[in-house]
Amino acid sequence: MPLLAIVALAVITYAFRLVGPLCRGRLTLPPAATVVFADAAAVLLIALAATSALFNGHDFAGWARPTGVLVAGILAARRAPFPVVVIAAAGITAILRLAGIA
Amino acid sequence: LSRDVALVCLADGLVGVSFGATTEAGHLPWWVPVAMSLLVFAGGSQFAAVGVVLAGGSPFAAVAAGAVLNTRLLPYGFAVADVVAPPEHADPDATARVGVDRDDVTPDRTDFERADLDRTSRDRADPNRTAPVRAADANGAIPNRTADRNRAIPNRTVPVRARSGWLIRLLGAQVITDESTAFALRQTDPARRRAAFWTCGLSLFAVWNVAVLLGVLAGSVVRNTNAFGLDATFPAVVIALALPALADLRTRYSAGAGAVIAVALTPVLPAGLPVLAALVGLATGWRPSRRSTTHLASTRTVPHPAGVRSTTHPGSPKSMTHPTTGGSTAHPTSDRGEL
Repeated sequence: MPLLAIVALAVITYAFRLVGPLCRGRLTLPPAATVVFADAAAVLLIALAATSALFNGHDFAGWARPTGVLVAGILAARRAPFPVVVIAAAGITAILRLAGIA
Repeated sequence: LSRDVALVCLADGLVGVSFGATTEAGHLPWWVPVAMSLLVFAGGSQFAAVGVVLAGGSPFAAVAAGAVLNTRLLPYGFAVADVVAPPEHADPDATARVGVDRDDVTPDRTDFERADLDRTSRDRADPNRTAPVRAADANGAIPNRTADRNRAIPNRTVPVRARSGWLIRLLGAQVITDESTAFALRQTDPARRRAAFWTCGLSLFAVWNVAVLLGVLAGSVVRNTNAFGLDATFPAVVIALALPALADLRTRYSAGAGAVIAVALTPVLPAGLPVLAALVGLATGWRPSRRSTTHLASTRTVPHPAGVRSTTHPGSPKSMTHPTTGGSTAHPTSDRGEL
């Protein structure tokens, strides 16, 4: 991975980050758009979680990881402390793999 | 808050270690993960880009995958724009604008309030909960001397404030992440949103880069991070952070539909695109709510005894600025067009 590629990704990424804060005060988004953007963030987070829980690239990641993430998600929904959620995800996944479940 | 931030930093530190170890295991030069973490600072896209390279993809494809994945930072930027910029409490017009924008997001916030009653009741009891004052309080939590100096000057000139504001914005933009955005969105009060964003963003930047470096160093020791289930921590962290925002039923439907779409498309689309395609899920949650939002908003505001967010109620005197009823119906197409 050449340095130029990293810099290119960094510049593109920074541009995405900067548009919102820069538009602030100059361009006021329609109020509804603000709500949509907040919703969009939540939608993307959940989609990111779902895909990264289930897939390695294009392939199914096996049952261990999604099971661990599912348990962690249930714990999180039940307001378990954050470390419990994270440790449960890693721990259950690790135990399942130890038991031979990919 | 600081406890939650520390825990997120710990969790992301683990992710960072695994990222560093992954690149090391893939025989990439040590400076690749280090430079990426400093300059790109977006875990998902770093994994995606490195994954493409390690899978034999071209650097161009790696950049494209990472960049596409990071387009989600665009709405994040808009969602946290008010806390990235320094508080504009010296400018009455700007203050008014902040007030209006707070109303805009109130429909979502009210559910957060209900979720954390103790916190909001404390906020409600606070007599000084006007936006300018609270924003000034938040400045104390921000390690930024420029902002503090400006606050000390009552009649500072607009250009001076604008210049320091730019610097803060340029700095703050770099620490816009899933986590700092989620932390900011979890808070109802502008000052708390600001403190949450900066505390999380800056700590995460430091922890992430140190962790990636540690991961590179440990890469030769721990060969298989998956054996410890570390790959499951990233989605778990993201879910835990997104959950408070899902208190709104409309958001929940959108997120569910989006997740299904993204998962269904992951086997066939290039990396990064499925997550973007999840935005289509916004339509499912958004469309039916356009008629029912008024109903939802009014029923939601009823249980709040103090009526803190009553400005969102259609019957309130400020209904001319009411966002959910007026705004969403007035700009149904422009919303999606800007995404």
